Amino acid sequence: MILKSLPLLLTGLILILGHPAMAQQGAKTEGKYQNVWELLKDKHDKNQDGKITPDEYKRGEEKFKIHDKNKDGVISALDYPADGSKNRDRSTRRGRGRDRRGRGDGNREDRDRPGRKSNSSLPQPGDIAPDFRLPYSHDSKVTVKLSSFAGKRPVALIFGSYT
Amino acid sequence: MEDPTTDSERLEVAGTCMANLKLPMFAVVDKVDDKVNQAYGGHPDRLYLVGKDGKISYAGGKGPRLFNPDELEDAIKAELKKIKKSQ
Repeated sequence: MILKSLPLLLTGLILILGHPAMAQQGAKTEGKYQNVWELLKDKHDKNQDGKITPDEYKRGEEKFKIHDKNKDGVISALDYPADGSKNRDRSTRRGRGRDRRGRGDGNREDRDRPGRKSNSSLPQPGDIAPDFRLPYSHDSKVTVKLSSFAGKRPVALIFGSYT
Repeated sequence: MEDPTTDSERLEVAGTCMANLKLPMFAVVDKVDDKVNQAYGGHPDRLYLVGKDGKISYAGGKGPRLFNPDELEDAIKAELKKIKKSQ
């Protein structure tokens, strides 16, 4: 990679992003799956009965609840309908906090495709760089603020996704 | 791998990423609200150079097609030259 020998005059910061949730989906699907349910079924439905029970799902209760969108106690195709219709149980407030957070929330229509700003609304040369304060990946107790470098040295921002 | 849904899960994935890639620089991790990503249009890959004055000096195109490290390298060289001149 060309930035192997960064001079001390420059700071490089890699920003690791998650893959933004696709509308209606809370998990990434590989190319071979039609939708999230198929991916989950493949990975977790051990007895192939079309339902993933908490026993079959090995990634923890919190994630199970995220996938069990209709709150019927199992993860199934009903939680990820192929036609994209929503199937949320709104009779309780469970999961509300997560609903508004975005990721893992099937109800994304009003915030469809986050991150899709048109080119003209992105920072252009000459604009003041939008400031941020984010934690380091190697020590999350330490945060770095972009504007702290102003007047000191330039900063290369490398946005990348890791999945 | 399923998507991280919390900040701490993301930090974990980021740690793995950096350990695997062994890059010689620091990484910071955006929160799950993706605010910084959205502000910069970072997904899936993008390069920027912020000049010493705190202003955008180079804004790369959207990756992967327009992700161009050579352009960033040129921008870095130009910025360093500019800094040297003003000293």
